[in-house]
Amino acid sequence: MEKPEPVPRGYVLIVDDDDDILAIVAMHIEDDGFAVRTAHNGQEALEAIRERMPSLVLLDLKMPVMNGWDFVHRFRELYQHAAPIVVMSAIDAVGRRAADLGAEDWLAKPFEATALTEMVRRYAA
Amino acid sequence: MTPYQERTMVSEELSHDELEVLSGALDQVEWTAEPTLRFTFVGANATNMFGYPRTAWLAPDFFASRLAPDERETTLALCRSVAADGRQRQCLHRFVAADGRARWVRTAIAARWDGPAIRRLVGLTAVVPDVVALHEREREAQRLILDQLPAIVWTTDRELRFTSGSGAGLSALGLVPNQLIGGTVYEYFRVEDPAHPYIASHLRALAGDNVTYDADWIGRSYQVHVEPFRDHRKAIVGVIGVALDVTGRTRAEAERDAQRQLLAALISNLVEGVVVADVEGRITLVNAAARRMFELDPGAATVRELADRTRPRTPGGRLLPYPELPWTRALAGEVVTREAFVVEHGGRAFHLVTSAAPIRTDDGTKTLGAVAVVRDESERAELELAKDQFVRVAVHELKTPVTIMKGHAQGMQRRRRTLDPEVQGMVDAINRGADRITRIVEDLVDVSQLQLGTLEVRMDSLDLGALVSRVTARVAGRTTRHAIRLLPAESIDVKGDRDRLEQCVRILLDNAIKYSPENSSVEVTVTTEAGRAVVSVIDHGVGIPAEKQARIFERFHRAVTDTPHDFGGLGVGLYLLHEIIERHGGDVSFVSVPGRGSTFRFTLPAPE
Repeated sequence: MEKPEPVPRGYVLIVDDDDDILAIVAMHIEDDGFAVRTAHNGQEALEAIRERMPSLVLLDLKMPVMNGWDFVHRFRELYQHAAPIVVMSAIDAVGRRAADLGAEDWLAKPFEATALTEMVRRYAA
Repeated sequence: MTPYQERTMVSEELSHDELEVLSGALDQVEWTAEPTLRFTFVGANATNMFGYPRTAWLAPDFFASRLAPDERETTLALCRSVAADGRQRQCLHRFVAADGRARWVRTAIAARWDGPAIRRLVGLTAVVPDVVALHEREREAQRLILDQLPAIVWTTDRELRFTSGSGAGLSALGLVPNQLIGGTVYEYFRVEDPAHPYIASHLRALAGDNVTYDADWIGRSYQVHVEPFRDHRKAIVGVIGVALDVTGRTRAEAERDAQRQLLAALISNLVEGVVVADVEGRITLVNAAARRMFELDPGAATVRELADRTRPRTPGGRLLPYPELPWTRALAGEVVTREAFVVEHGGRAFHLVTSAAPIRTDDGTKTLGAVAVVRDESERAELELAKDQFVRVAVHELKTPVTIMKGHAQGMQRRRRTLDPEVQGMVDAINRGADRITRIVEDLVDVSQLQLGTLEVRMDSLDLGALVSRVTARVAGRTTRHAIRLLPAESIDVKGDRDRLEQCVRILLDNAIKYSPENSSVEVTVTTEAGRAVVSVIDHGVGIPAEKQARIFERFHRAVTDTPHDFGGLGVGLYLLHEIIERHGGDVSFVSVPGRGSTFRFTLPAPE
């Protein structure tokens, strides 16, 4: 007998220019029962948000076309704090930079899968 | 080049349009001008290179009014001499662009002839990089000084081939500057005999002697000094000689003069900068190299002005106050040896290493001034910086692939029930490997931040006792093979960076575990001593060999290299610990007995 499709616990938008990173982050979050959409830069993310407001944005900072800093500023202008933003980056002092940016939280790359899923549950569930 | 040759080279057939195309394609402005230097045509680049509209260039005194005031006359004189004798010349000078900034340019000028009369001037003006320009000006100035010396000054290489020849005295011998270059001393004096005084003196100078002798050349009397010519490593690369015309002068006068000339020639040729100041701090001598390092005018001024303008700093970035400058300290009697400082001008940092000493009267009773010898080590410093930046970029690039590795390994660990046990072990090993790369990457990031001076330490109020118990509990939870015990920790308020101090405790605990046998214990204490908070980590492990103890806080130094206890690692943990604690105003110490164990402790200032 076929199981009914479970109702997702939340909808997470992952923004990163690296396809492999998008794939593994999406895999862990989907395994945990969340719906996921991916974007390669700030501009694609804003397009996705226009269609549907996510319950959480996981955001890389260094990206082509529109980087994470510019994305946060644009997002705040348009939607204020409609969704929490968690910065997910390999740059130095990512915690401090996320705080300066007014992001809700941060994950330094490389991170543990458990740290990722805990973070998503805290903000998106 | 004769006027006739020039006339044939500059074609009169070049049309206006052709000139336009030509000058637009080159990184220079091509122009024509009346003999009065009023431009009659300027190339298309005139506007993009200097910002003035092309019509502005056609005003009567445009060129003269855009020259830097201090060199306007010499530059104009040179240009006018082209109009006078038709000989092609070039000159390095400054030209003030529309934004008000003086740019270094090289202007080459030739004459165009109309029958016997010079009809107009044609020229090219190209921007040259500032550094190149300064360097050339400096050499030019040096040459002019040497050419004006009332003496003959020459240098040779080790084969006694002339490498320079200058001085106003050359004309008495019917020579012009540098005419001798390439020829040998043997050829000039037409002697082969190594025992001949002219040759023997040069050979002795090559062997390290200073030689003085009298000579008669073409009916005049000279006193000749030859000395070894040394490079900055003190290796003898040739001979430097000075001949002073002493016809009709007393011997004593001549000797004093010769010494002075020789000294002047040597100092002006030094790679090192030389700055001499008198007891009042007035600068009395500065050579070309020092002028470049401090951007000094030939007539400058005082040590205080030099410091105000160049703002010397320690390599760590602290501004050197006046009493700590090498001259000030040397005037106070101190001998300064090889101290590093940094000055900045023209948008560039100069990393200098200086030695300074007082200048005293012969009997040593009175100080006359101070001399500092300064060496420019910017190139090495820039290489170091480039290397640190490379490491920083390279390790960052590693973070993304490691994230991907870990992500997939942990994805498989989640599905471990679907994997057979052997594969499970492989996946666990991949994850552990990724963690080890992560630790190396983090260490290297920290080291590069320390080297680049970008490591930030935030001073928050925190409870050191709580911090240490938190880290100890975390580390203890990770190991089953060692007993880690935190002795009752006091609550001590200190100021510091939470993350960095946690890192310090972690480094000490990791080392203690790594270099202790299984089942041995590691004790951690937090106490106060004489107003300072003290954290100690005591192990009963392999200890550190006595001969290796002195260097354990150095970057990439590993005391365990080539011992049975070498478990890998970069050798940066203790270096990081030391640097971080130092930035907190604390200190690190240790006691270690090989075979018995080590006790490491760090202290932090603890406010009452």
